[in-house]
Amino acid sequence: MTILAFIAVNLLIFLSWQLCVSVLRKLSVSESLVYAGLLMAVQIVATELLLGIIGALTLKALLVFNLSLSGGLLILVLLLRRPLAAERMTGMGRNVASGFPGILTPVNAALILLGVFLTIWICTAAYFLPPRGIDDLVAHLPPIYQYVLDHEISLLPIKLRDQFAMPLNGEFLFLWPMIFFHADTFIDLVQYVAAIFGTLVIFALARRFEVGRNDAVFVGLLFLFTPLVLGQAGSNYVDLIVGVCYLTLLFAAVRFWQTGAVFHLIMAGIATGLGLGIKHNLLVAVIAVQPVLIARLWSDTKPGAAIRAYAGYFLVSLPLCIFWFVRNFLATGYPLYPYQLDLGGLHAVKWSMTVNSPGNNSLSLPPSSKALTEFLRNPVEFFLSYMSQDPGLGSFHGGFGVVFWGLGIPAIVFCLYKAVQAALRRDFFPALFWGHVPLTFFVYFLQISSSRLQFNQRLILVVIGFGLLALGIVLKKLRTELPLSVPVIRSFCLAVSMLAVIHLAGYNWPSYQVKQPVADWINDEQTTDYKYFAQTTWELPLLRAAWEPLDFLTKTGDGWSVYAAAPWSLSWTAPVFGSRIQNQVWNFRQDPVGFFQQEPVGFYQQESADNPDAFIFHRMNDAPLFYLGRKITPEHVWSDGHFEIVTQTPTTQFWAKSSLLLNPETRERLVTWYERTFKSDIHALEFIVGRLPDDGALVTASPWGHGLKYMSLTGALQMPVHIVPPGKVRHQARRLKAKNIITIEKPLIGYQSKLLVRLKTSDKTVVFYENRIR
Amino acid sequence: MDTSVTQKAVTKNMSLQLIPCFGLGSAAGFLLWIIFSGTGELQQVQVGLQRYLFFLLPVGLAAASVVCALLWLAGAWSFAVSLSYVSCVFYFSFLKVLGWDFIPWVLMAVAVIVVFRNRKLVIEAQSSLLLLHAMGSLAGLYMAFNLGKFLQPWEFFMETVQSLWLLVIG
Repeated sequence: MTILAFIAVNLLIFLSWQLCVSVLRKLSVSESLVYAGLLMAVQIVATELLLGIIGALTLKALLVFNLSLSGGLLILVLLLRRPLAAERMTGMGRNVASGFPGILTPVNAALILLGVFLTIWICTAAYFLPPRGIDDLVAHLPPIYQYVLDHEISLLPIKLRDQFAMPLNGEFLFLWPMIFFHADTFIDLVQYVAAIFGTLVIFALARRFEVGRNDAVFVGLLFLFTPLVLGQAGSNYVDLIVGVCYLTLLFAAVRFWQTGAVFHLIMAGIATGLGLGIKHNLLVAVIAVQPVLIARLWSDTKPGAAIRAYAGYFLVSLPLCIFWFVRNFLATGYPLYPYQLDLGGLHAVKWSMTVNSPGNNSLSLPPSSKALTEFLRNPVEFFLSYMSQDPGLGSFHGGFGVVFWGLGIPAIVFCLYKAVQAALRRDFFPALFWGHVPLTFFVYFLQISSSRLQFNQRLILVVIGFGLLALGIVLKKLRTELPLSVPVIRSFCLAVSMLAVIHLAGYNWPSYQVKQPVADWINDEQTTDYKYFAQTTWELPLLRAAWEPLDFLTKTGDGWSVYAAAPWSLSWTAPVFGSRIQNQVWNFRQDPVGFFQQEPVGFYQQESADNPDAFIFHRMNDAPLFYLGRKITPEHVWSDGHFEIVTQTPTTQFWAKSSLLLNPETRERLVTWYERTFKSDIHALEFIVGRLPDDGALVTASPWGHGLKYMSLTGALQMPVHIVPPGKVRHQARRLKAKNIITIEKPLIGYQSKLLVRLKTSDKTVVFYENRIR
Repeated sequence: MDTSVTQKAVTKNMSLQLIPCFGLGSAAGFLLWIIFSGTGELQQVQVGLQRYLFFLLPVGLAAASVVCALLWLAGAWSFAVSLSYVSCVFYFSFLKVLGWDFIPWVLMAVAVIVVFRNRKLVIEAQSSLLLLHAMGSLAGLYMAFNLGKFLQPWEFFMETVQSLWLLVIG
């Protein structure tokens, strides 16, 4: 029901803008759809931004605001221009109906079918799997989770991550489904929707370059099946949104050049503002678009009118991005924090990586290690290596695919050649348009080390759109000169699109595997989405040992306030909030500003009402823990005595307040979690549990403690089970003052010990000891 | 005299069409191989001669294709055609190494059909032919290096399809 309401609200916003732009100006179907999509995104972002600034970012306020705006717009258009609206919409309907049979060629139909399959797959993955792109968890999601909890925009501690100070218009699109469902369930679909919108923008652009409808649909659809787009689609990175926004800006600029209508200039301004508020790297695109706009204004408008129109473009772009620049300027002194733009290029100013991970600053490369230097040294070798390796293929980092490298590159070269020819005839538009491609590569190579290409191809995702557009133009040419080659090329593209979808099954960054979640769903063995961090990369499978039980235990109720500490490189906070955004990250509350000034590091205050409800500690290779806010160590938590370990692995400890675990519902969930997670351990322990005594207590730091804890909670084991940190068994035994202590693997020194039972498993033997006070 | 001119024109037309056909043929050959070959076949190619042939010949083909294109632009038709045939033979050998004998014949059939159905070629099509040639060569080269990556997850893909099917049926 909520899903239907969400779809209805989105449809209302989209249709209201589509009707509005159609009435304002006579547009083609594709034009009106592109602009309606752009304005819909802008409305969502702008309303969230506004409500966030005034501290009223709630679902209710957001719905009232948006429904009033779209409903009002719809009513206004229908009241004032009803006949015109009806005429334009009917005309569009007729156009779509008449054009549809022409585009439904076998190849296009096959691509659409492949798209339907892909949509089902990606929706299933988004539903069952957690947000799992590494930057999602590190930087993109924590700020918007915090906004939803606080109902206002704040700046998370940038000494933890500089990216918290990046503009967040893209993340605000993730926030839209998230605030609606108060869960992360559908946020992985947002970039996929952006990809679908990208196909529309490429189609519309191709039509403006007089590519036939059939081929325009074809190249548009190919965008969806590019390996990089597929990888990005399921993540919460914003590069796909940035790329599509860039293409939308270009579309508006092209239409402005072709028509000279201020309407398109305003649309370009809106796309500029939205894009600059998503990611700083769109600045290059915005600068590159200016010659198109200025040259067109200059060509047939009086200077005064041209300046006024250009000022209008500039002013329209401001509201959507200015907030982030002003906030960063006030907070850090740098509007583009963590970067500074000057005549020498883009420089890193201050950032936590420099402080916390010296020597890892890719923006301060010596000239010799930049990709541009290597390219200039040996262009042919560089190109062949670049193409054949297709850096980042199989992940959200890169992989432009064979359609781009094999067909798109020659097509772009052809378009550039034609652009130069046109420029010689004093027609500069093609050069201004296609010049974006070499400029994009130039700026990219200037900033990036060739060894980092495999992680950064996503930054220039827009070139895929250029490649497809160029392919469409070449197909138009081939249709007249070598018509037989067209079906060959189109069939080839269809086959490699199918391959790209097959390839998607092997992605780890992010994983799209749904086998295990579907099996768990069918067998009713689900715990939480976070269980499936197990099939991801980096350290996520290890860290989920804490995140999964935390999320499962707090899924119902008001959530907990959780303290988290880890080595800086593993300080990934998004999963601490939980899949229903139910928990608070205690550290953020205690360190709401977090700039680089030295601040007093306090210690854990016992018995304080503000104390955390739970603690998560991650360790990795003896790296020191990074403490945000107050320094609270595992030793402090252990000494406090009010917390107990829920789960423990060599890398992770999850402590929860004992009083909270006594809550019957939480206890029930804890039992269920142990049962579903340690099923094989529990099965093995059933054989020996009868041989353990009823009196005393079992104290262990062993992984078997989880299964034993389950047995204790269900009554199968009469004695209480205490899971303790390694090296604390003896301390806990003393603290309990019990006469009889059961331990695993080692007897207790200072006690009268005897071997109680041996549990033989397939790979080892576990020994239980009974230890009595002498 | 007339016969000689006609013969020359035919050779020229043939060369104009054969070159891109082989360029596209390389791409089409990979495509067909993708469709008909077994799962993860690339990974199964042993280190040694077969692997050498697997990687080197497509690269050789692409390089030969570039040379062909240059010769063709310079008007050295017969050399270009000969080199194209050499490339083709190499390519066929490479495919035979993999045990897919029928693919060369499919390629050949495609080339023959294209040549006979599109005999009257105007000179304006030069840039299109060059473009096609570049596309075929680059696509072939790309697939030579990356085909294995695309094929590798076939089993995971089938698992995904099965899981989605399980969801659909309830």
